[in-house]
Amino acid sequence: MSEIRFRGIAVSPGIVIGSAYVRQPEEIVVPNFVVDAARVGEEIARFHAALAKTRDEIREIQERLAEKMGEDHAKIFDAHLLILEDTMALEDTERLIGEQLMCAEFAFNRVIGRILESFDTIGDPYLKERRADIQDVRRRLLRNLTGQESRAFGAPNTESVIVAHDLSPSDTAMIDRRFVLGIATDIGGRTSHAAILARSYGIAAVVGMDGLSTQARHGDSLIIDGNHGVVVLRPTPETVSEYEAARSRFVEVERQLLTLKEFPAITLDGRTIELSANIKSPDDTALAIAKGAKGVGLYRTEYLFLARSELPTEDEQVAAYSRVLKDTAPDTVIFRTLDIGGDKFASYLGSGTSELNPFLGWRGIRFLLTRHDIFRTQLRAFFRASPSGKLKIMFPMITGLEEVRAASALVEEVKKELDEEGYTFDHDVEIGLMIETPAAVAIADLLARESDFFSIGSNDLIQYTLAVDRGNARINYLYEPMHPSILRLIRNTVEAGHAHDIWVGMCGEVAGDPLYSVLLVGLGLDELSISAYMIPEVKRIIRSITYDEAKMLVKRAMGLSTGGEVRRLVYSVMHERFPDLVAQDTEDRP
Amino acid sequence: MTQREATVCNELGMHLRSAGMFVRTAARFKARIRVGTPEVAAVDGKSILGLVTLGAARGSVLRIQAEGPDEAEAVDVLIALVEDGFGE
Repeated sequence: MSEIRFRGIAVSPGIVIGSAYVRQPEEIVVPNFVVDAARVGEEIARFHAALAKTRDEIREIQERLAEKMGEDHAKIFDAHLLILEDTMALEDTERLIGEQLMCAEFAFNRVIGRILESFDTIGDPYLKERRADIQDVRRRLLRNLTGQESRAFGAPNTESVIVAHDLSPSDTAMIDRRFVLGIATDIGGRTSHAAILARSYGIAAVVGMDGLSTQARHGDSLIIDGNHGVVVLRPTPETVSEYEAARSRFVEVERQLLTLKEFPAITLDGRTIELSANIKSPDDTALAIAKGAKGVGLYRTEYLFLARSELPTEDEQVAAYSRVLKDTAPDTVIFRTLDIGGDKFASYLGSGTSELNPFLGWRGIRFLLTRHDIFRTQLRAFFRASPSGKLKIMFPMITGLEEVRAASALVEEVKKELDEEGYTFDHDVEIGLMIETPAAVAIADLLARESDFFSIGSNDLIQYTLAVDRGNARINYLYEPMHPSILRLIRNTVEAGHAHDIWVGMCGEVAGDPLYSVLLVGLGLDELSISAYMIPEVKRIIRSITYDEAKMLVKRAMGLSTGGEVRRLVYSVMHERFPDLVAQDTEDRP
Repeated sequence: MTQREATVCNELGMHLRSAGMFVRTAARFKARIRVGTPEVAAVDGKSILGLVTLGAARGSVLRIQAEGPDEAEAVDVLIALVEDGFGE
């Protein structure tokens, strides 16, 4: 039999060759009998008993999954519980039982079936995929009603590659990590449960290959290439040896990346780059450290203020900040003050979506300087937390020196106040500025005199400089990090900072894209703060180049005149220099 | 009856978890709550299954209607929830 190749979406990297464990969709036979009119009450009671049993099962899975994949992912089961309490579905089911004398299984199946039909008209692929969750709940309830035993995924008990039409949240909860080498499914995308599971387990996965699970048979040999989104079913010996070679290359790269954890990001000729992580909650620190981050270069404190209806208290903030500092010590954490506005709102703060142009509106430092109450409380919490580790503070969205002076004056006031109240804290906390507007770059020399460091916010700097909204599909082709204007602004900022003896870093997506690592080192940046996931790869690149060679690349790039030319140069140099450059995306975790 | 509109602004739209938050919030009020979009007829705002069938992606306009003793407050709170991106 000849091999069959499938192309799908690569959702978790890695190459694996193994034998297929084909997961057939669990079919539940839905009984259809007529209920005796005198026994309607009993039938409804039977329905409610099954609901209760299903709720217990889901709670149990939820606990188990919270241990395996983290609280956050287990939250999806909160929604499953709400489905079981959905008054519309329950009342409709009871009505069908009571008025049409349908048995509970048939009635419930019909109600859910109608809801699933209305998903056909949903255009958004992510929202459409939520159908899987509803089907999962339906299957579970029907099983409890009919008393059928769960096949509980029978789950592979020898090392296998899982092949399925799709994996439901319940399936993912049943999978034993020890026996799963990879996952391949017929449907799904980056956000389907199979993809999320694979990434959290660090195993290869490809999804979205129509017909795979019907063509694969139990025990078939199978290759998953999670780097390129390819699955080969029943591969020929030649294909197997080709992929075995690719696999050992990949494993070697991975192994080298991991061994780098304890090493600094230093070039062959001795220039050290502080390679730190971006975090948004105290929970993110552990991952950053596990990936070998040198401290936290951007703590987005606004996430503590979102998703709630009132301000976090000073004590609550102190607790959160202390935790981050303690977990990161002895390395530094750079706290960005509340950066609300733009695309992040909290209606209780009064920052509104009502602005015509929120990115040019009341955001960042502008917000804080008109809300001294909030600003002051946050600053107090910073200083009170400071004994727990090494803290630096950074202000967002600076356009002029008045803002820096006003904010710094408030810092001094707060310090004085805390001294009077008898608190112990670090009096020498460095104060830095986000450089994310063209105005800030133009006056970087002036700003450098009155601050301790700069961090370039690449996303906003690009959007403001090129006047492009990346969310606007008509013009987002203009969003070009390699545009000569952007390179010049970065260079000017670095030069202004260094001329005044302050260090200059960069946070934002560009900083974490391995494609740009050599260029950014060559531009003279002292620090890169990036997604924890990208740290090993960026570190590997920095450790295998010289500062001289990086500066040479910058020199060549600066001689070009368009973004396209620079991009092509960087691509060709990087792919020649790092043929195994792991193309990873920086998309956030679920 | 009180009614107002809000635009879904979180990245993934009103998916299962955000619909769940909406339902839990709506359940705190006595008022009867209906939610619709320009494309899809209004559904029960206290039903998670109803809400997810709206398929409200980022940028969709939700019309929230409430009828009952606490209708004004219910609409205020639910509009704020949507505008906060369901806290994501």
